[in-house]
Amino acid sequence: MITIPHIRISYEEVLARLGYSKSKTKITADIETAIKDNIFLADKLLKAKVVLAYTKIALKNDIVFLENAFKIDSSNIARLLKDCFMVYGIAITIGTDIENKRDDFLSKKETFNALILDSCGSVSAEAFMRDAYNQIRDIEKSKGLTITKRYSCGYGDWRLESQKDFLNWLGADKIGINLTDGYMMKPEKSISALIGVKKA
Amino acid sequence: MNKKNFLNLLNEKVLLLDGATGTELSRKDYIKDIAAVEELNIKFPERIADIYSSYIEAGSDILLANTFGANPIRMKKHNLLDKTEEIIKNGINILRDCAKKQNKEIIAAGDISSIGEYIEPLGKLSFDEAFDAFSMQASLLAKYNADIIVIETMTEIKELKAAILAAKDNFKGAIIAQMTFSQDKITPSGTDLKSFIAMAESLGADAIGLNCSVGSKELADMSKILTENTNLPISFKPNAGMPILVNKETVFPETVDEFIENSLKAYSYGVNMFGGCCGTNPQYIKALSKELKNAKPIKRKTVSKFFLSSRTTAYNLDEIRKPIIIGERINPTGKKKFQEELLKNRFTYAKDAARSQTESGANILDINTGIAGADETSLLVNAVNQIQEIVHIPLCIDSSNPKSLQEAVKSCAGRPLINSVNGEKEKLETIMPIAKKYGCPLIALATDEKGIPKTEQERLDIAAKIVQYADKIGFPRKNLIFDYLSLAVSASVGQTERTLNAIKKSKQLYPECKTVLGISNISFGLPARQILNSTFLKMAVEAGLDFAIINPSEDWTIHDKKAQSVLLGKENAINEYITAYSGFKKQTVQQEEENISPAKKLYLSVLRGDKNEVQDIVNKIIDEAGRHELSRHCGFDPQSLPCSDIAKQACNDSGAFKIVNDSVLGALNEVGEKFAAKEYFLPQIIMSAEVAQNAFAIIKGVLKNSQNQNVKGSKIILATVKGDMHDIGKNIVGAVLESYGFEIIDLGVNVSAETIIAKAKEINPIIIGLSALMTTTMPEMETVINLKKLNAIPAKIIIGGAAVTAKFALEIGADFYAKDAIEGAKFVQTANKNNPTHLKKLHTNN
Repeated sequence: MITIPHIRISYEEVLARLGYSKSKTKITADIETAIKDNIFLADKLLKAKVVLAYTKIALKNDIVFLENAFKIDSSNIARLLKDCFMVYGIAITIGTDIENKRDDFLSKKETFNALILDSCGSVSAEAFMRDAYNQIRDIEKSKGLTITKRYSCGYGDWRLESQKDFLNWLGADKIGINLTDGYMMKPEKSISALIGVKKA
Repeated sequence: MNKKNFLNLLNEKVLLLDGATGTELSRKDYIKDIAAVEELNIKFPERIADIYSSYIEAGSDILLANTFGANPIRMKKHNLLDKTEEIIKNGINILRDCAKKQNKEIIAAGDISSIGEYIEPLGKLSFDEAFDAFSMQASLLAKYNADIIVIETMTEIKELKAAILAAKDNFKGAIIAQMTFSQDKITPSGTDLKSFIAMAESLGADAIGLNCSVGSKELADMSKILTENTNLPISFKPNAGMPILVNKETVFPETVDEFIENSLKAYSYGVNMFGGCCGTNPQYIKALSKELKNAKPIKRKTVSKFFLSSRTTAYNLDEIRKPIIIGERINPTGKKKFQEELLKNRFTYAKDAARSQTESGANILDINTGIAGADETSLLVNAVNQIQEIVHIPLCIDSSNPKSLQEAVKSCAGRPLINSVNGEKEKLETIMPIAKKYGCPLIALATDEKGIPKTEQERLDIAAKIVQYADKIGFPRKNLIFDYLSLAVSASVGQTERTLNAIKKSKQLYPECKTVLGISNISFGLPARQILNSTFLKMAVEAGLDFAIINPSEDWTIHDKKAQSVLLGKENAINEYITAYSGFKKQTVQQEEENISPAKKLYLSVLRGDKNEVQDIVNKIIDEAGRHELSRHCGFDPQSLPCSDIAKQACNDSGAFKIVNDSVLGALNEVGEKFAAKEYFLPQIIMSAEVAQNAFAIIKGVLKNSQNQNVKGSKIILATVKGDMHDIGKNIVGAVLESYGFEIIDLGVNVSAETIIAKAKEINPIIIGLSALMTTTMPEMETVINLKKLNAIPAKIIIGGAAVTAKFALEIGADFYAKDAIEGAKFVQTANKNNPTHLKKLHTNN
C-alpha cells in the first residue's frame, strides 16, 4: 500500500524548471527571496491526493486488454508492457489551491508570482508522482518483481481520448480529478500514468 | 449541558465520541439524491439516524451532529442557504431522538468544520467573512440547544481562529477545537502542534484535539505532544489508517486491534476523549467502549508554558534564555525609506527587516506602521499579513490605536504580543479587553494620564492600577508584561536606578508578570550609544528583565565600566564618558552616492527588475522634462513651481514619454540579450517586464489627456485556442509585450476562432497571438488562420506553446513561431515597424 508523502518543494527544481543555468544565470538576492517567498506559499497550498488501481492484462496485436476494465490500442503501450502480466494505473493531484492562487495573481497582473507558483505546482506534482512510483517499485521489488517506466495518455500513439476510460477505471473523480471536453485534467496539476509489472 | 458540568464530567471519566459519519454514509450508499451531506437532515433523516443509532448502541457518549459544513458559505454553494436553520435544528434533534429511542443519555455536539476556502492571504476569503459564517452556524447550534460545539478537521490556523472566536461569541457551552495534521506533525498549511495549542488555548477553547488524516499510531504520537504541552482536556479521533483509493475503493488499512492498541497508548498519555474518524465504524467504537467506557482519566502532570506563536512555530518563552529579544526595526520613526514605502502601501523594507532581524537572533518581531497621513489600520494588517508568511517567529503588534490593534491581531496566524496599554483609564478599558478576547500577552507601560512618573513608586502604583483592572475583567496576570520605562540618562541622572529597582520590586510584587524595556532610549543624546545600550541591557537582565526591545543586529556583548558609571548616576561620570567617546564613530557601510540621471536609473531598475523606485524615478523624469520645456518656451524660472505643476506642463509634450520609452525599451533589449546568453532566466524577464509595465502605467496615467499618439500602443490580441485551458504561457507573453508598450487584448483560454476573428475585425490589431499546449488543440490554430484569411484581416499571426514548432507554423500558414516570450516580442516589434525584410529574416532563422 502506498502512502501520501509530505512534499516539500525544492528551490533548485523550481529554478531548473524555469530555465536556470547553474553556470550562466546570475540572480540577485531580491529575485531569490521573491522566488523563495512563493515556494513558501506554495508549500502551504499543496493538498496531495492519489488514486491507484491494478489489474491483470493480456496483449494481442498491439492492443492491451486490462482485465475487467478497458483496452488500450497503442503500439507504444504494447511495447512498454511486453512481458508484463499486470499494470498499475495511478493518478495524483495537488488540488486546486495553487492554481486558484496563481489565477488570483494573474488577475492582479502579478505575473512573476503567478509564474513561480505555477512552477511550484508542476514541480510538486512531479515530485509526488516520483515518490508514488518509487513506492510501487519497492512494493513490487519486495515480491521479486520489477516495474516499467511510467507512461501517460497523450504520449506516443496512446490517444489522449483514452484518458476518459483510464481515469474512469481509476475512479479519479473521487480525488477531484475531472476531464475537460478537450481531455485536459482539472485540477491542472494532476498526473496520470500506467506502469507495467513483470518478473525481474 | 452547561460548560461546567461537561468539564466536571471530563474530570471524572473518559468520554467516548462517535466514529466516522462520511465514510459510513458512503459505505451504506446513503450519499445520493442530495446536494450536500447536511441535506440528509431534512431530506432523508432516517439515513443519518441509522448511523447515529449504531454509534449510540456501540457506546458513544458524545455524538457530532450532521452540521459539519452547515455554514452559510458552503450551504449557498449547494443552494441550501435558506435551509441552513432547518438543517441545524434537525441535526441536533435527530441525535436526541436516536438517544431517546435507546433510552440513553448522550451529549449532543454541534459540529463545525472548514468553509472549504482559505482565508487571506492564502486564499480570497476575508477573516470577517469566515467569522460571520461561523457565527451564524454557532448561534443556530446555540438556538437548538447543542450541548457542546466540536470544531473539527481544521487545516488552517486562521480559520480555526475565526471558528473559535465565533463559537465563543455565540455559544455558552464548552468548545472543543480539533485540527488535522499530516504524518510529519504539521497541517497542510504548515502549522505545528504547539502552534495549534498556543492558538486554541489563548482563544479560550475548553478542550483541544486531533482528528482525521492519519491513523491511530501517528495520532497517538501526536497526542503525547499535546499532553506534554497543555493542561486542557484532549480528544482523539484518528482515521482507521491513512486512506488510499485502490480499485475504486477507499481502503483504510488499520484493523480494529491496531486502532485499540494505539488508543490505549493515547489513554496512557492522559487523553480524555476517544472516537474515530474516516474509515472507522461502530465496531471500532464498540471495541473502544469495551476498553475505555467510564474509565478514570489518567492524571497528567500540570504544565506551565508561555507560548507565543507564528503560523508555523510556537515558542515557549519560559524556555528562552533571557532577555527575549523583540526586534525593533519595523517601525517608521526616523526611517525615511520605510515611511515613504508605507505611504505607498509597500513593505519591501519591512520584509527585509523582518528577515534580517530573524537571522540576527530576534525571538519576536515588533511591527509598527504609525505614520502621519496614512491609514494605520490597513497598513498594520497588510504588514502583518505579509511578514507572517515569510518568517517563523511570532509578532508583536505595536500601536496605540485600539482599532488598528484589533484588526492586526485578528489577521495574525499565530499568538502575538500586543504593544501596548498604559495606566490611562481609557486605554485600559479599550485595549486590555482586546488582548483578553484574542488571548494575547500585553505590554503595559508604567505611564498614565499624568505622563511619565519620576519615581519608582509612582511607576509601581500605575502597575498596581493595571493589575487591579486586569483582575477585574479576568485578564490573566501572567499575560501582563510591564515596561517600567527607560528614559534618556543624559536628561535625568539617576533614573536608570529607578527603572531597575522598579523591575526588581515588580518581580516580588507580581511574580506572574513579566517585564520589558525599550533599551536604546537610555543612550539618547550621548556618543557611542551602543556601548551604553549594551551595558544597560546587561544590568537590566541582572535586575530580572525578561524582554528587551532592541535591534538584534547590533553588538550586545559590550560591557563598559564608564558606561556603567553613567548608568549608575555616579558623579561626573557623564563628562568622563563624553570625553572618552566623543570621537567615537559607529562603523557604517558607506553607500556610494549614485549620481546618475533618472533616465539611467529607470534603465537600471528595468534591467534589474527592481520595482521599488520606479514611481519616484518616472515622476522625476516627468518633472525634469516639464522644467526643461518651461525654461525653453516660457522664459521664467521653472524651479519656482511645485512638481505637480511641472508635470501638468509636461503633459503637453512628449519629452517625458520619450525618455521613459527609450530607457525602458533599451533596458528590455539588454534583458533580452542576457536571456539569450542564459545570464537571465524566465523569472527575471517577467520581473523586468513588470517594472516596465509599471513605468508605462505611470507615464500613461500622467499623460492620459495628451494628444500625443505615441502614448497609445499598437494593439495585440492574445488567446489560448478552443479546447485548450492553459493560461500561464500566454500571460507571460502578454506581460512581456505589454512591457514594450503594446496594448494587449487578452481573450483568455478556450477561445473559438470565431470569437478571435470577430474581435480582430472590431479592433484591427497588428498581431494575433495564439497559444496551445497540447497536440490535440494545435489544429485549432489553423482554423483561426483560415478564418482570418477569409475575412481579409491584415494582422500577422504568431503562434507558440509547448508542442508547437516552427515547422508546424509554416505548415498551417502562421506568420511566425516564437519559442519564447522574448522571441515573440522581437517579432512583434519588427512587425510594428512594418519591415517585411527583417520579418522574413527572423522567420527563416526559426
